Amino acid sequence: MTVQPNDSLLEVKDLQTHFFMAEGVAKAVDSTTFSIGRGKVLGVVGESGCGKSVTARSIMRMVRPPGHTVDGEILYSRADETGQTTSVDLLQLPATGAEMRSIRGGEISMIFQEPRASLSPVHRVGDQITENILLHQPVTPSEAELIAIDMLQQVHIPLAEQRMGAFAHQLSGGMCQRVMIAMALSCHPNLLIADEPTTALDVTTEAQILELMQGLQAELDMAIMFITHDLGVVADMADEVAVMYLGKIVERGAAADIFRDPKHPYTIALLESLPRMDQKRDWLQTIRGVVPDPYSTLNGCPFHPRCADSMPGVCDEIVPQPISLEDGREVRCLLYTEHATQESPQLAEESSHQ
Amino acid sequence: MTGAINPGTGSGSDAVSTAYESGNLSDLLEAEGTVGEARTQFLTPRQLMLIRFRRNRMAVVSMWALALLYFSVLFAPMIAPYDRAHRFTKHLYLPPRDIHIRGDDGTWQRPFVYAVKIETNRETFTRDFVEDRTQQSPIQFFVKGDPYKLWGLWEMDWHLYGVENAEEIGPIYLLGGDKFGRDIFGRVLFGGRISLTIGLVGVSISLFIGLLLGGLSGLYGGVIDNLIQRLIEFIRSIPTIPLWMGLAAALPGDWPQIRIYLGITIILSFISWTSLARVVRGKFLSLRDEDFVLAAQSAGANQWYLIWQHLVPSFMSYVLVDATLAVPGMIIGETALSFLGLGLVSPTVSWGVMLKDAQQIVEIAIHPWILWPAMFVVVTVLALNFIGDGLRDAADPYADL
Amino acid sequence: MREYVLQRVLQLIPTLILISIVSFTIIQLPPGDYVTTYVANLAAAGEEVSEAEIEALEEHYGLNQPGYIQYIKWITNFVQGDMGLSFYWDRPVNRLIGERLMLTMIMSFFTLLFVYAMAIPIGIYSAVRQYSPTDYTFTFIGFIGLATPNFLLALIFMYIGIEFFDADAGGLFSIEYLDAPWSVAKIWDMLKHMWLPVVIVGTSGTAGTIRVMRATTLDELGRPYVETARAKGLREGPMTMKYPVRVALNPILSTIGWQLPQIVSGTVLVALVLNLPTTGPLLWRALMSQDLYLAASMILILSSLTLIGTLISDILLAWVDPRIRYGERGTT
Repeated sequence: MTVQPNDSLLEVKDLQTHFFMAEGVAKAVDSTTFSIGRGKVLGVVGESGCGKSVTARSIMRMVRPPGHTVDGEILYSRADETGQTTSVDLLQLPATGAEMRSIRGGEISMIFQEPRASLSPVHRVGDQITENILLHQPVTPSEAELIAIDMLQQVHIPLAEQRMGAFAHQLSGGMCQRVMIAMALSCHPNLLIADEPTTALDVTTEAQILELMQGLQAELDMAIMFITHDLGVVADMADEVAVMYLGKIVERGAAADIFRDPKHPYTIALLESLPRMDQKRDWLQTIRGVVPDPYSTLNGCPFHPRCADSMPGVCDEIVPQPISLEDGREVRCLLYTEHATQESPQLAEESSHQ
Repeated sequence: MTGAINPGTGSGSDAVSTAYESGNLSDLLEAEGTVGEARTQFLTPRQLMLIRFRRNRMAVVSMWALALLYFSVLFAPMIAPYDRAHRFTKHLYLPPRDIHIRGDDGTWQRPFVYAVKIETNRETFTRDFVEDRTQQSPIQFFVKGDPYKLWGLWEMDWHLYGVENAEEIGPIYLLGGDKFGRDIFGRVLFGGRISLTIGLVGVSISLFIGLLLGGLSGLYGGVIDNLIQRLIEFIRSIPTIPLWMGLAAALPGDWPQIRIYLGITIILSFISWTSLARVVRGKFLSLRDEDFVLAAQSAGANQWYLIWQHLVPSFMSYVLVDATLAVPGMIIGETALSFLGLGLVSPTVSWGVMLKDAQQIVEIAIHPWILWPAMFVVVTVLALNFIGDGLRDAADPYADL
Repeated sequence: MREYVLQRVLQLIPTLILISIVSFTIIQLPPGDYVTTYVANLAAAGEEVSEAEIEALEEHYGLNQPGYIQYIKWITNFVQGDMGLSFYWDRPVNRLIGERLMLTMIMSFFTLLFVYAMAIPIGIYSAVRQYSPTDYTFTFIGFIGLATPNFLLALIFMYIGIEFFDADAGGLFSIEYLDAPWSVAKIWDMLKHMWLPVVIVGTSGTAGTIRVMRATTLDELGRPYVETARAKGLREGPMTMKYPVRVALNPILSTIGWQLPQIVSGTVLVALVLNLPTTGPLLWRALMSQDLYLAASMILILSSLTLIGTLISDILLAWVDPRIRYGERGTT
């Protein structure tokens, strides 16, 4: 299940996006490294405020002040007409320049958490879709309209032609998200970034939308970066999973491996707080505490105050670095380093019950 | 700093802020378990509001300026060197006096004024006041002068500052004198008693009506709400000034001034209660569906208990902000009506009454200092707007700290 | 849409009736009437007036009848276009008001244009460049504009005009056109004089609207649909105009109706200071001399025009905002 480097569509290396506030610098994304393979689905999982969305916006070059992407590389490999692939660092492109704009919405597109709010309240949904098509494809307005209708049919919107003239407030949340998907896919992007696309929807609609996205992903052979706080949602969709905590990826690997054998205490806790796939929340099993505020400068591992396996004197002093395990897994935890050799009864216990 | 406000990525703050508004933040976090308890402390909404307000520099400066103004107005007879009706008949339209601290010989001295004498300008043949460089008169503090009764209670006759022999060498007019030779600065202070209180009294009246009708409207809805809303729409659709003018003209001219004052205040409140009622109604309606109200309801809270314990505290800050922002409108309203001669009239002193003397553009051109009361109107209104804005920003529970 | 318009027009009728009653009552409120004032003035001038003469006067003006009859007579004639007689001027009210009313309307219209032409671009700019020096400058000027009453501004402009430009800022016409019949040259002359009162009356409205426009644009800039539009790869400038600004304009346009009463109020006051031949000075004189029909007619007409203006702006708004058109937001 490992992704070959030359096969990857997008490689994010050491990405750092910080927010410069009066209160201090919030490191929303703090040296994050991952890659997405062509046609693969990457699930990015973490609690609110862990930097998932900011990572997505950094890739789209849509981080707004006071946020700035201060360091890192985002290597995106585009295929030109001859089929030759060249790699371009998106961070080197001017964020509002012509090239970045042609990638944004054309080659990499994005859908959001609140589908209805994500559509303009005063424009017809059809016009909003055709606008995207006209921006990125050499077609006439009437052709664009046909493409848009076709897209609406592909996302299973009944009476697609009539719906072209509807306003967002006339559609249900699920319908709005279908429209958003139709808009995002209208130019056949190589990568779709879905930022919690089903969080605001009810469970049945959520299942429908997930099914639709899976179907379209296979059909169009595009990669998806699926951001969610809900591990259950990515379980049967993602090829790879990255778990984020406080701006850092704490564990990364093939989805099957992570669900079968989570390594990082945070991943373990997340999985434990997920009792059944059909239930959204369980207040009985939670992770102790809340995400600390982003300005805090915690010593050592950022997770140690909430970690069940925290090693006093180690985890609150040493900042863990990513460690490569077997099968291409990567984990940021001191339990898997030489620091844990003397005092890691928890770890022994953990692996024994697997 | 509270750990619960999370400005970077504010999602999930909804549940927090609802609890926060009702003052239950600590309960909420206790239930979840807190991190780094040592550096996290919780403040009441009012404390938070105070902290945010203090950070708004314009609002704080305005607050102090206004406090100074109200204080001076309170002690007007003491601070003003002369009585409001004291006429220096030899010194009509005396320009503001220059205060010197350096004599003709270049020596530093305690603050003094030169005597004024009248000279006929050979070119324009107007009679102008000029400084008589041979006669100096030091400014004295705590001098005896016109007797007065402070707040109607204590007989007194000393004033903060003054000059000796004012009849001869000219009174000490900081902002000049008017057409009857009265001190404009002193009269501004006396006039401020009317102009500055009319807004407060008027807003109190509006607040009462607004809370009552807005509350009824939001609470009961239905026919009552509909009626009150139509009434508000009706009042708001009439152009203010003609309506005010009509109502003010309807006040009998032979009424005593105190009654006219009240009448004008009520006329001004007649329109401004509508916006306060709208705010109250809107808050009632939106709060009715808030989770914490539903929670209290399902816990069996009785309606009036609910209103006083939950609804009123949670919208009072908004209402007070709007009330603050309504005061300037009233001050301007009084000034405008008195300026037109439809409000208060002489011998009552208010800023509008004083500005009535500035109706003739010729008078302003020759004696521009008669516009000084206007300056006070603008500064007061500006300060009130800044304070109102500062309060509004501070009252916003979703704002970053 | 047609239903909506019809409904709004029907709603207008009871309001208009109410306003007519209120205006008439207000004018009736003060003790005494025009004749008492008139007689008092004559007496002050040393002339004796007999009881019989007073009665004759009262009958002449219809003042000996009960108030409600006076009202019914006045309003029936009013609807037919006859607004009664001005006691003070001894001329039909229609003729007195006609031209002045037209000038008031023209001035209000230009003021409205001025307010929006200034406030919308400045508000957008301030929002997009939040906390820039320009934003701060406009915010500060806006505060001053809000804090300065219209009539004071008029006085200050008059003073500046005389002191520094040696020009009388008052009036709407140059002397040579004052009594001239209407011509292109006279209209041009009027427009040349009108900009100053328009700026004066419009200042506070402009300042207020800038603040609202800035706040709503800022609000809209943070909405998810803006992010969607940005994610399409649109240019930032056109995207801002097409999406957040377009949405932010709705509440601004919907308050056109609320601007009108203020603007009409402003024109009345400023006209007094600047001595403009509009309704302001006439209304003032009518109120001062208890000129019943003239004052009541003017308050009624000013209010009605304001109401009609509000109605037109509401209909325009329903036309541009689909959410209102489909009756989802109710009438404001």
